[in-house]
Amino acid sequence: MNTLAELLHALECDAAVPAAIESGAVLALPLPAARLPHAAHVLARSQAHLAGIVCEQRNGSFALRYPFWLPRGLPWLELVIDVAPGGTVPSISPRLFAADWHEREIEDLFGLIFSNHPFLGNFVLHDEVWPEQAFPMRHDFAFTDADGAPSPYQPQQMLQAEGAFLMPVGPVYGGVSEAGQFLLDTLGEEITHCQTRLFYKYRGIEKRAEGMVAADALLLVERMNGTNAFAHALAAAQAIERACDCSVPARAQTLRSFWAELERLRSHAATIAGLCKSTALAVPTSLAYQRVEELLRLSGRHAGHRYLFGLIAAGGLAFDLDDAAARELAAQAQAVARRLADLAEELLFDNSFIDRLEEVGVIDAKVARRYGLVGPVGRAAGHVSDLRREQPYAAYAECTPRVAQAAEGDNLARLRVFLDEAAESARLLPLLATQLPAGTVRGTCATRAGAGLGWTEAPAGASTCFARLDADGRIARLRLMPPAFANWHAYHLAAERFAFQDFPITLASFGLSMAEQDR
Amino acid sequence: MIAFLLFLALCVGGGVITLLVRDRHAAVVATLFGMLAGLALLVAAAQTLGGDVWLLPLWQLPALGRLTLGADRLSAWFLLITALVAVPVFLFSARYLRHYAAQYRTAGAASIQLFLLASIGLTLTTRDVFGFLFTWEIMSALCYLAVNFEHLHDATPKAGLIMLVASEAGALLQLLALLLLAAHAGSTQFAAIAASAASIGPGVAWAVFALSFFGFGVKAGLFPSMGWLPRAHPVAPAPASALLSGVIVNLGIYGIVRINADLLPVAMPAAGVIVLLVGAFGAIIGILYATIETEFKRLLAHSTIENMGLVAMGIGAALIFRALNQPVFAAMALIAALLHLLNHSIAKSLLFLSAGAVDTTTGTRDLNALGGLIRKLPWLAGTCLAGCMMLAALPPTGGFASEWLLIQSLLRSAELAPVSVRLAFVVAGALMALTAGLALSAFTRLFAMAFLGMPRSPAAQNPTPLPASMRWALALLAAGCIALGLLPTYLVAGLGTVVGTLGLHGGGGALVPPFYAPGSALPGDFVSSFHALGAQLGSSFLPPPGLVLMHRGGTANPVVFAAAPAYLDLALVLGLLLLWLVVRVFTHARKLARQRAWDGGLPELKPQLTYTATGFGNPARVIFSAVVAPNAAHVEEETVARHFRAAIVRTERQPYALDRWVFGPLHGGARHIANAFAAMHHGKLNGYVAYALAALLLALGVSFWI
Amino acid sequence: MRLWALRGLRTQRDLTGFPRTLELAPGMTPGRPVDGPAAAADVCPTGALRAEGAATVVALDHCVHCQRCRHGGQPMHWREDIAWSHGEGAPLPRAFAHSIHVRVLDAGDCGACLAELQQLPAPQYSLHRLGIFITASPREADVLLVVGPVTRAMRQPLLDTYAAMPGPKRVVAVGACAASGGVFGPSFACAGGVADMLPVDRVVPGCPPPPLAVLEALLAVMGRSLPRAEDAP
Repeated sequence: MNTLAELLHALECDAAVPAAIESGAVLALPLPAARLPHAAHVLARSQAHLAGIVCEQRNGSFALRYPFWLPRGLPWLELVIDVAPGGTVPSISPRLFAADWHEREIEDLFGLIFSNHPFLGNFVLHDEVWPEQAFPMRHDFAFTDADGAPSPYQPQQMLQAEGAFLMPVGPVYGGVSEAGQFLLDTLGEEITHCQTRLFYKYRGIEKRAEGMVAADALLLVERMNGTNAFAHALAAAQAIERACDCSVPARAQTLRSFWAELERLRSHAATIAGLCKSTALAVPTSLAYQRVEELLRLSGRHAGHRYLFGLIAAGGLAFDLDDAAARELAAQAQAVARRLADLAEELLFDNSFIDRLEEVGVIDAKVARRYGLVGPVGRAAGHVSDLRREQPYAAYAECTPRVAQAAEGDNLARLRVFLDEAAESARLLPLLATQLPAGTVRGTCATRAGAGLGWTEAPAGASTCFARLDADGRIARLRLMPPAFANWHAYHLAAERFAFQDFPITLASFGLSMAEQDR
Repeated sequence: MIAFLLFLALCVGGGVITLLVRDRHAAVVATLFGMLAGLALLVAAAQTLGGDVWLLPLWQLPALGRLTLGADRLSAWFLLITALVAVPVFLFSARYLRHYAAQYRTAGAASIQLFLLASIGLTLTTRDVFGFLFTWEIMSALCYLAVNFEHLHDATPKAGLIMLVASEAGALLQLLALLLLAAHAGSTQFAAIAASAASIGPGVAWAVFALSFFGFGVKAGLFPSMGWLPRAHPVAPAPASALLSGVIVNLGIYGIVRINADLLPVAMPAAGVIVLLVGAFGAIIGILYATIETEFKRLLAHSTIENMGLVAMGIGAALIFRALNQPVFAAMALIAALLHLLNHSIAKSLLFLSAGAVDTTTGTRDLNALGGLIRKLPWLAGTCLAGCMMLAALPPTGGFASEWLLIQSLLRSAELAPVSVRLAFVVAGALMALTAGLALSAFTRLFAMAFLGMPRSPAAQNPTPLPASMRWALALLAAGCIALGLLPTYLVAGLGTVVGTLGLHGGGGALVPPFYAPGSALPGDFVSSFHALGAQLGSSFLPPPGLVLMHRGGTANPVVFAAAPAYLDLALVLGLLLLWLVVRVFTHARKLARQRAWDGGLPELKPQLTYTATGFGNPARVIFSAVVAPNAAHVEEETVARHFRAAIVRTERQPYALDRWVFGPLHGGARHIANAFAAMHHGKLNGYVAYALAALLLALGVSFWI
Repeated sequence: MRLWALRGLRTQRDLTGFPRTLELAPGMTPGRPVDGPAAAADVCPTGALRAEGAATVVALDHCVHCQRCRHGGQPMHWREDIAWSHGEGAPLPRAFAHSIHVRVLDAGDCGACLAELQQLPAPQYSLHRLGIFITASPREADVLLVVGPVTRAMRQPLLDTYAAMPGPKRVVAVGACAASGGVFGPSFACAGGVADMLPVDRVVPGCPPPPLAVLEALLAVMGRSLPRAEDAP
């Protein structure tokens, strides 16, 4: 299935073939619900990549959107189905496993039942904390503590063997660690199965965004994952801009790429530092965090905020960065990146460090494809996809990055991909700084009713955002589909079959945020 | 002698009466007789150890020679161990056997135990070949009956049968060894055999050694014929298990010592090396399995193999030292081995009874299902801890003293000339050190998994209370564990005379020097050799007499090794007391807050979220996978809706190491040969006629050739 | 095998002068709004700025560093400092003046506050030189440092962790979320900060507060003397 026409033919949507095919366009394909599994089956075997599932409540009924992105030169496809009140949705997870968690999330938050999905419930809303019949994303949701009692805590064992037990890690564990839980099914020493239990940090961002003005919703999205704030907020801003048909000035587009690359460099440096920390090498850990701090200070100096909060605005950027400062920033960031590369070179010649990474935490290409892994984790396992290249946004159409990749899928491969990407970001920064177009960075963006999809390649992978605005220009639905969601789904596979002591290293090598997952 | 005959009368009479009274009284009657018999045996053993060595010639049998009973100090030592174990075991069984009443006839178990006790006494006191073999067979048969008591269980009859077969194979070898000796001496009397031993040629001597060592080794659970033991010992009722692992295995050691150190003292160092290495391999394999086993009694059975291996190492060292003309070292090694035998018997019977107690109160012996019993059964936990510490060789228990002595006597191999022998000692010493380390882990695990943490099953959550008689039985044995640790010196001195009867003199004196006797001064040369080293040695700061184990060396090395277990324990107690006082004083004013265990913020700590016995033992299983690796671990993933894993089911078969290495291939080979022969049975008439013709021709040919 | 210790010794020193001085390197802190015209309060999305007469009062606990009042038409005056923690709680007893153990607890943080805390052991701040150690077990912790608005699922773990700590103990709320709920709370999924659950001894506002602001709060909890604002160069 090489051409869009063939793909649409297989999907039995020949009528929808557009006259002109372009990247960045979103092609909506309304389907009857019954044809959904077949469509999922076709798309799972094509080069399409599921970004997530968007569920919208429209009075009593629900509309579900399944956005897929296609390789460069082809548009996005969006399967759209309607679900009558009280109806069930055919689950596509058996055909397209990447949809598994999205369906579970929608079941928990909307109370929509996915037929043929074997594990529903106790996902976002933990049974021991939330009552069974709480569906916070529904419009009529009004929750008080008096509404029903939670169920008793009952951890489930997956491993059935003589003497098998669960090793609980979290939700309060380690030194400075995010709140989440891993239940390790084991007979001792070796992890047979890892149950990743997340959503301890479920803050209800999507619900809270409803009714907000676009600018305030962006503040929320920034704080979905504060360490990758810019990339996610950019996705949301682009969704809003697409919904309201706003145009973004050229200078803002280039600067958006510029800040995004600076953030990627810092985020990857922090991931590398975390990996050093997990192997208990004190000096490399210190040196790596020293690099991170240098990058944070660069951001703080030039953007006013160490994590680039408050920078993004619908229609451009909140404030400008002058050309000289941009060039200085780029040069300094490149110097930091060079020091990071020097450290990496030393690390990669340290056998004791390599031994702990090599052939540990392996994710093979088949799994990566089946789970639809994104970002460095997917690319390190040979499942290469980068939205900057596939569906360019901001200034990436003119300034295409080289996409790092590896085939081994182990901790070391991931480290190498993070290093290569950090180096690539450092290469792009001066290029972007020197080709800043003149002009303003903030276009006028009058919000109005509409819906749109926005996407970015966040440091951790593809981040997609769906926004619907009502007639007042306020958010009616904001759906965040961050990369962590896809990658956490497969994390347990990397931890399995390895010893307890490899667990934190594998965890660090994924560089995943729980805050981003939980939202 | 009178006391011993009384013991026999009480056992046999008690056994018969037990069978006659009503079933619900049987256990109590047997307990009364058993305890009285045990006390009589204790008196008999003490008298003999004190010097009352007796010999009682009985009837002259046609063709089989005269039956003779008699006890020397060696017999008496084993009788003493038997008596010390028997008294609490019978006390325990009074209430314990009751829970079989619904399904079985308890009188059967009770009387078998009494008869078994009698047969043990007789085996240790027969002084002629025929009598010995005869009582041995009776003892073996009674063992089989004791093991087979719970015959309604699936595993029991098979385990009993395996034990019987192994035991008979061993008995066959013993028979040959004893017949070789009797044939050479021209008499079945042990006295006559011992007298004629000097003239036995090396070939016969090797044959007698090999046959007797590997023959008796079966009963003692020595490498490589110990596979039956972890199957058979655990399936018997707890008191019988205690007798089997506490006393019956000793009979195997008795046979080895009796023949190879008394009747025909081994003169070949190589034979000693074999014993040493066999002991070492048995010890390490035994403890490895104990480290990963999750069934309480099977774990104990594996530990029996380990301890018998340690005892065999001591015996092997003694045989080597003796063959290389180091009688004092030989005596020391043998003393250590025999002391360890006593320690092991006490601790092992204590733990088997504890296993029985756990079984009665919770209904399970699966360590994965136990846990947290210390809160409901502190008594049982305390006594069991004493036994665990004993087998982990920790002070203040006797296990520390005997294992320390054992390793010290192995270290004396430095004095030996042949490099090959020293090498064997190095290997054995290393394996013993590893064994000791693993033993600590195995028994920490046993105690922790049964008594600490959370109950991992409903049964372990609500144990029924333990009857007083059982508690007393356990307390007696636990007190024994501590007493043996406090005052091993008195036993060592006594053991000096025991090994003296085997012609190994000077051991007791070397280990418990006579100058530490009350009122005596330090010998001048001892003091001056210290002074030569620049040490000012005065009697003023030396510990009072009788409590120091030490070995004197030459001038350059006045004390090779020394320890005062009683003082060590005293220091331990004082230290703990001090610690308690310090904690008490410094925390006096502060409020003590109690919070639940920190669980990382879980809503509730559940038993399935805590370590199991399997998990605790898994590192050992991973590291020593070459020995204990499962043959076939089968992992099956159950999935639903194509991708979703619902369960991971892991099953494994874990054949015993020796079954894998030796008996499995042997069995396979035999089957292969049998199959080859079976191919001859093709059912064609003319084929069979051809066989007959061929056989006839062969027979004719052979007869012509001859 | 690399000689990392030597490599570490060869590295140039890059340590902050804090707490001897208040000297700040550029970019170390985002700063904070301190005063400005009354009109500036209109752009604030969280209500941290409130017009009082002709001036604007700043409730820093609610400030999420969105920078709108910095770049607006009527800009607020921002001061680049770090000493902005506050609290009523008494410092720990004197015995803790030289060393404390801190349990960091994530109660729904977005990652930025945690990332700033991750920077504390970095060579630029070197938390350990001040005798402050981050510990995994609350059993040995003296200070509970909470980030995030306290989500529903983290409520009980937060209370359990606090209960598991031996006294004397102090609670430090770090970040706008922990101080006031920030952009998230209070809502159906989040509380309005740690004070809804536990007695808070010290609050470090900021979104996120820079590492030095946290360090300053910890030193205050230890009862150590701190450089005053007039020490700043």
